[in-house]
Amino acid sequence: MRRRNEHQKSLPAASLHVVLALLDGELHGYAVMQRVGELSDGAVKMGPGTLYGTLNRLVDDGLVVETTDRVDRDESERRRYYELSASGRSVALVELSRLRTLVDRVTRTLDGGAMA
Amino acid sequence: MNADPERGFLRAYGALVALYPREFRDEYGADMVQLARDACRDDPTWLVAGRVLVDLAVSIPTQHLEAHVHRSPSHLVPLIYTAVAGAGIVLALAGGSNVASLFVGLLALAAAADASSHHNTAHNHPPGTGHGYDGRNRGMGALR
Repeated sequence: MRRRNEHQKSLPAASLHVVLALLDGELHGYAVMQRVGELSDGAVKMGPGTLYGTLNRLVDDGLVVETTDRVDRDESERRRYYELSASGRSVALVELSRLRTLVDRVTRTLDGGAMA
Repeated sequence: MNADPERGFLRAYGALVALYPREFRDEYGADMVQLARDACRDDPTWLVAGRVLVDLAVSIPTQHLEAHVHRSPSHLVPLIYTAVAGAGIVLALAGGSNVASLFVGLLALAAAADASSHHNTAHNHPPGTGHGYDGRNRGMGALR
């Protein structure tokens, strides 16, 4: 499993959306897709290939873990569940903080420009 | 909603999933079809089909590129370079003062050594064990 160190550059857009969606806790694939849609006000609609490709990379990077077998589930339900690992959660929070800083700076710049 | 277009779409999508690299489709193919089925429950089939077609067009090449990047190097590459090196050196010796052949032979020998070391490195660090993330980020950033 590859590990992502804290100082690496920011996550690509699809990975960022998925880790932010998983901040809510354990979700299956379709729920991740729906949550990404909700978080982006419907602007981001991930397709199945993009979603599972992204989850695959995040699992490889140790940011997301599959939790399907962690608890007994309905036999008829064949969905796979995922959640953030401890390092995934930390990366998600770092990304969130980075986005907040970005928005704050741009807002301050715009406010300054509006006053000038 | 009429189930026939949905069934037809899901069957076609299931067939198109076969275009992904084998390892990826073995791992996620069934989940992807299940996700498309779930999406058809919430949105019109034509809308899901359109979205999925765009996704296929983007994610199939992406997955093939990733599979290619993480493919184990062939055992044959160092062997071929070594054979070329041997032939170059033999030609140089047989030809007496054929500096060009000697140069080709030595160059191929260096390439064989380099290919062999890459081969060993790839075996020591198989996909998913620490090497590759940066490479993926560099090459695939726009596609992710």
